[in-house]
Amino acid sequence: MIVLDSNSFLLFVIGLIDPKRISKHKVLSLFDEADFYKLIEIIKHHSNLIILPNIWTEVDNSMNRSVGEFKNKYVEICKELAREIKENYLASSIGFESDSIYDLGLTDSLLLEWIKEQGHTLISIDSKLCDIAKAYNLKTIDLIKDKNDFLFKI
Amino acid sequence: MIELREMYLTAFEQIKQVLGKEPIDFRFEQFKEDEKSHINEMVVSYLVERTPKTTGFKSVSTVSNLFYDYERIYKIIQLTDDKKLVGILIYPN
Repeated sequence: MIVLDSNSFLLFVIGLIDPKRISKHKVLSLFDEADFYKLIEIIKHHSNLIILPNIWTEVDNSMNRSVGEFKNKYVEICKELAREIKENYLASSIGFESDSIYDLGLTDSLLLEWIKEQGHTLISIDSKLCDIAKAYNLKTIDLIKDKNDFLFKI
Repeated sequence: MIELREMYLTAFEQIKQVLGKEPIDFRFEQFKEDEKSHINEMVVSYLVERTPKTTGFKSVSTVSNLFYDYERIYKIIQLTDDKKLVGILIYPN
């Protein structure tokens, strides 16, 4: 199964609404339409995804301030996604007990502990989370590193 | 607006100057241009060795791996359109 962190789920959601808007979001300024289609290629189908409720909350906190047609599409798409994508609740105590709580905060610590236990693949747009996931030898798709390699390494 | 690759290379050189050596796993994370001020702002990150001070009150992890000996630092670098440095700021992540 595949687990997305908040920013890669944000890339996924904005891409479904309007891929041309991806680079306009502050935390996704390095990413574009092509990255969304690559993400879709990796995920293949919604049924391969599991999302933590904390990730839904972070994405909604970021998207719920949008207005107009974009907001309407956001809500419609999320109604569908929330029905289709598996969701897994983890108690916050697991995150606060994690070694990584000081570095990553609650949501990413929960993600990390969950992936350590279940062996899921992490897709992330958070370099710090990827550093630590790789330190635990977890299956990690590090989209910031991939994008830097694509754009800047000859 | 400066081309992305130029921004990357300029930011890399600025951080290299500050550290006195090449940054480890240097990454370009985000950017934005203020159209009024023509200041290009980019968020970059790189790894530095942890010291007892940066480890804080948490004892060093039992994970014996490179990434617990290092931590990722984020900075905001501000450049003008002609690549002059305006500032290097702490990124509140």
